[in-house]
Amino acid sequence: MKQPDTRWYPVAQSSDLALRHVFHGQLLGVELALWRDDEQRVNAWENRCPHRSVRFTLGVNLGSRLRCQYHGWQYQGGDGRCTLIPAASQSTPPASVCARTFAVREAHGLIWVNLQAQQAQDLPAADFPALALPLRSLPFQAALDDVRQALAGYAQLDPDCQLDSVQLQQTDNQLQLSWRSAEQPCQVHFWLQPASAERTIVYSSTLAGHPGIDPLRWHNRILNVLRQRLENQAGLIATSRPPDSLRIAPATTARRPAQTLEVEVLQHWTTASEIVALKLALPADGGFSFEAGAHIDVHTPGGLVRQYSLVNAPDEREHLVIGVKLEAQSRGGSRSMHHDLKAGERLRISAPKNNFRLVPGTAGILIAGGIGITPLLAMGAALQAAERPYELHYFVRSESHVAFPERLHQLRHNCIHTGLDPQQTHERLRIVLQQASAGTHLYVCGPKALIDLVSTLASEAGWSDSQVHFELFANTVSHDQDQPFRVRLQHSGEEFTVAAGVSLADSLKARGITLDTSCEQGVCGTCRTAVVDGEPEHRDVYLTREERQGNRCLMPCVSRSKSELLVLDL
Amino acid sequence: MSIESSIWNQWYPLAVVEDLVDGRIYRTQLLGHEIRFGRDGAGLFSALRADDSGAPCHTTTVYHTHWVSLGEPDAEFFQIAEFDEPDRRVLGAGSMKVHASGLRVVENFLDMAHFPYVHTGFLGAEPYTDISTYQVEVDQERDEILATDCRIFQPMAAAGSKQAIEAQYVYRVTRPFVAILYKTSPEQPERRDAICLFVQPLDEQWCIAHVVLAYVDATSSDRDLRLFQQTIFSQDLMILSNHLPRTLPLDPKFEIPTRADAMSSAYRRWLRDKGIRYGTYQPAPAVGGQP
Repeated sequence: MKQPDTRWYPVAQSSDLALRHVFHGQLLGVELALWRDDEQRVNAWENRCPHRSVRFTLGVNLGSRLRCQYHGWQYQGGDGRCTLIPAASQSTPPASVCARTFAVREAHGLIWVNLQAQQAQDLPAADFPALALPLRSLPFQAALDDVRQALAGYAQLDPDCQLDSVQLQQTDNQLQLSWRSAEQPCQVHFWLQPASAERTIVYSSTLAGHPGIDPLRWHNRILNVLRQRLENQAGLIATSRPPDSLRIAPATTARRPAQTLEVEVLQHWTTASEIVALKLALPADGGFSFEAGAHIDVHTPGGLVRQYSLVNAPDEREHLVIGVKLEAQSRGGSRSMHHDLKAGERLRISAPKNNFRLVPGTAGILIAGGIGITPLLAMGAALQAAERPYELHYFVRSESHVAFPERLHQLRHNCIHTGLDPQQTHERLRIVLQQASAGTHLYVCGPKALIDLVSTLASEAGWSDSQVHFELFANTVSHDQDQPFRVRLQHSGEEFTVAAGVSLADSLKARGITLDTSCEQGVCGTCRTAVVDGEPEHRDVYLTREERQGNRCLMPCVSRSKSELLVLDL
Repeated sequence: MSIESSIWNQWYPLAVVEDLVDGRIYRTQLLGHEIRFGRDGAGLFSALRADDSGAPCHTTTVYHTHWVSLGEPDAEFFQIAEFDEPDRRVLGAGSMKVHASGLRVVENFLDMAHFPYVHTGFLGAEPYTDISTYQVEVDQERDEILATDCRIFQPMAAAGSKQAIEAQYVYRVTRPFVAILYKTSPEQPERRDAICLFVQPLDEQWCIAHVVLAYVDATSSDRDLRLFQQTIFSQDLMILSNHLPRTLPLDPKFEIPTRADAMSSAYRRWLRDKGIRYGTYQPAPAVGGQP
């Protein structure tokens, strides 16, 4: 078996990656989608959407994300993670949905890719520097070794070449030639891209050239002569297409984004009565991208997993800020966040997820009740930065319950409603909804009673469901119906509890048990696990009705247990 | 590689009835084999292998389509009851060649989530991209897959549409290369138009999609009905010719589905359970791994 090729190769000229374009490249038989984000960062991905394998080059470069043309799935630059699945626009794509990314660098006017390197590995210094004048890139229907050998005789194609002056230096995929042509010094430098086994692309640069000669045309002519000779030699017709040498890049698990990460608590302060705020440091290579409305899962010191919305403004990405209300009936989650943490300690969190997004390009009315203010602060700041019309209405018990006052004051269109009884709240909301202009979207976060009230009023006022977006209390955004249950592994006898808010699959993996997962939504069938005893609570859409009723198996990525104990054949 | 019997013994469509001229001989391919076929002066359909054997193929004509089998087909054909209703308009909407495995074409036909992006302004539009939960059932007795309760907002659901509707779909897969879609008829919302996708696998990476309509539509012209379907299909074609690989992977880890893909996931599982390999993606063994 051939060893994988770990070298860096040029795959495009810098100018090929035009603004908002997705350039189609190929390296060692692997098709590439090359694109530049609006910050000029270059991405090199396998040219295949991980959902249905449609070429990314058909898609749209949105400036910071790439959108697949087939189902509109969006993938962020950098780590290639999927950020939006429009068919389930209100839920967070699982971490497994990720474009296959390759190490990429931009240097010498070219884009360089290494199919095997980790992103951190740098491009080695060039053996031969690029020359002042870049030439057009030229594809050859021939193998890299044949092209390199032919290019070694390049100078000899110059009729004025002084043969004894020719100097050649070469490596596997670079050549540098210098010679004297009618007493003038000539120099040319080639970089070779093995697009596939039978196709090689040549990038060249040269000196400014001698007077009276257009070096671009002059070199182009010589290169074309050389190409024609080589392709004829190889018995190929220059215009024929190479055989389809499709290669699928081998999957690696190493690049998969981490499920959780450990962060330091930078600050821990009381922002309102019964509410603490936490500022969390991001790891240096964190590079999170998230939108207003996102939340994180926090593994609380008390051992429970809780979801907290991020209050971060759009330009605030060097740390995360959350607000935590002390729940009267706390089972240990919020209480431990209040009492068992201080600055300097560490917490385990998930990457940001988003089930509560702003609809791009529209105006918004934001309605918060109590701690529900947290995602709406982020949304208000995002709407203000995007110069979209918005109003933030914040319903609180009293002035002392107003959280993050310093952030509220930054928002130009906020209105704090204190101490209203249910009847007054009802009346105030009715007026707010009545005065809204057409096309506005409504975002609500707070206690269930507030959400129910706003939904009813909106429906009465003729708002369509698609205009009304809500999120329950920030700490119950998902898994709010979950109950903890115990699991026993039949073979090892090991027994443990799966906490509310944690999937069975994650619990198994956390204990070092090997479990293959793929979609993490109960669709694909990869993680199917046999059940020895107990009654699963099936939440998948994969198993047939008979399998579901038989209770002999379940999909641990989404399903849980109705019985207190579930015995698995593991 | 020999072709598995579950594929070899099936019936496959070669042509829609009205597209053939009596007395003319046509050539095509099926499962990689050359076929000669046509109707004689009396309108009788026949087909032979265009190789040294010259062996005749089993033939039948049903659902407005001429079918052949290279192997030993089942005596019984799957049922499409709509073809028996006297007031149905039955017509072919075209036979389109596609550079993809026929299984990819069937799967695309079973998918609603691409409507807002691929059929913008016709079968879907942003921001109506969310796919609500629908039901998928495998009918063990008939060995068919059924997806019911599929709903999606459609700006222009059919040639006869006057306004946007929430279309209601039922999808049905009867054979690996055959799928039928039942969708709300704009003219009689209580009845459903049937759109049949009969796929002829030329080889593993090429196919011809024959589309036959059984419609409740007394007003649209044949031309309008065909034009609408062909417009939709031409939009799919751009996607279908850009799959990498062109064959369908059945390994659930190779392409990652989401909840909206429950039907496609069931289709892949059904193919896997039948041991279908033809037209599926078989990854090369990993470096140093077992074949």
